[in-house]
Amino acid sequence: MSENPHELVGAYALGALDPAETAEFEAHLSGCDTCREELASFDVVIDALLEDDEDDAKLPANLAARIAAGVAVTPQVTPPVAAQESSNVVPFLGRPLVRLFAAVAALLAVAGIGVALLSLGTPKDATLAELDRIREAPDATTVALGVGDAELVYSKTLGAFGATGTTPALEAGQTYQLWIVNADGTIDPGPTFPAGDFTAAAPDSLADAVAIAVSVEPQGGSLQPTTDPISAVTL
Amino acid sequence: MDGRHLRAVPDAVTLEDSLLAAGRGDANAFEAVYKATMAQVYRLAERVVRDPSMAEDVAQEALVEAWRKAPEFDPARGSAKAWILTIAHRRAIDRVRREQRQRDQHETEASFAPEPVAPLADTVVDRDYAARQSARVRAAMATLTDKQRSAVELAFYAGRTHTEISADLAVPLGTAKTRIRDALTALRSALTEVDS
Repeated sequence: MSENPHELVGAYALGALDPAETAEFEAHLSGCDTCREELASFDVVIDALLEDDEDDAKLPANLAARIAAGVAVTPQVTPPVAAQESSNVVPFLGRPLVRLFAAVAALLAVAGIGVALLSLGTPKDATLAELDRIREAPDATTVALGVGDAELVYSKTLGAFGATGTTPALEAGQTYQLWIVNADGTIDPGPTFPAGDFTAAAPDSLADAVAIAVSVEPQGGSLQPTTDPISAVTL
Repeated sequence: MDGRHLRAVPDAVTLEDSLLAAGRGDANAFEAVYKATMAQVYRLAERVVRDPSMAEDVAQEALVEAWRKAPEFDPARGSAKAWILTIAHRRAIDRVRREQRQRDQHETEASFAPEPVAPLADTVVDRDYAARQSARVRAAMATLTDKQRSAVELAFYAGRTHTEISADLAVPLGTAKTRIRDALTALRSALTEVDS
């Protein structure tokens, strides 16, 4: 792009590069101490620009409830490697994942099954609202989930998916759980949902997803799959 | 999600403590985080996207993203508030750019329409960005030239890329780049003087 990439440090600090320029500058940044130092020196400016002196009067009434609903259905990222080595974190990668991934591939080779998601503890209204938001996205896609008559609806631009329908009975102490299968082979946990009628949604979950899978898990759900998937849908 | 013992959060618990706990999966700790920051997150989103309901969406998405990424928060690299506001700012900018792309598309499709639409630049360039800046930012901005100030405000509050800014301000791309970088350097000086 430019013969002098240092010049872009200011625009980068303000977020004023397009995605291609951003990638190019970040590649330069990783090998340029001068730019890294200059960039860090701008933190004080960026932090100040982010601030304001206003009071909290304008807050929309239901924002807190919407955030709570989103949090309830959103799994967290796998922590950085350093954190994984400390004790308190369960890595998602591991043997069951490899097994699941192989099983997903096998399922995809066969045919679609159905899945439905239910968001634990989320007020039904918030889940329905999220489902509507996804359905209204210009690129919304609806497919059979492969469990009961459930449908999966997703939008790649929103990075969100949801599901609704009716699913077959499970044994006591069991729940259905959705899994987000990423392009790099990692699997992130999605919402759990019960047998019967359900609605589930997972906003902000599809950044690197290539498939959604469903498995039967112990009540409360799992951090990584403990059984083979009963369905999988490629996105 | 399992129940947590933490009921009332003692005063001594900082936002950083709460965000770190949230990063270990503690949803109750995250409640303290979003309750303490959502008003400011919303105002920042509203300042960029300029539409209350769009701002509400951006604020919700930003704080859910903060929850999702909380395991990656590193207090050594900045405050919890700056970390969250940075997420919110990026999402707001993304939204503005998406809207802009859609508008551009419509304009292209409607290019035979008799009524020419005013270029976006006229509106973003003329906005009064100072009105909602904090007093210390306003004071620091006052040390910039008009053109430097415009370049920073267009980038930060209107989500314009440096290429667009060079068109908005009718200056060569190289000039826009330099102007933005010089402006940040001047703002840094002004802000650190104010601070000390």
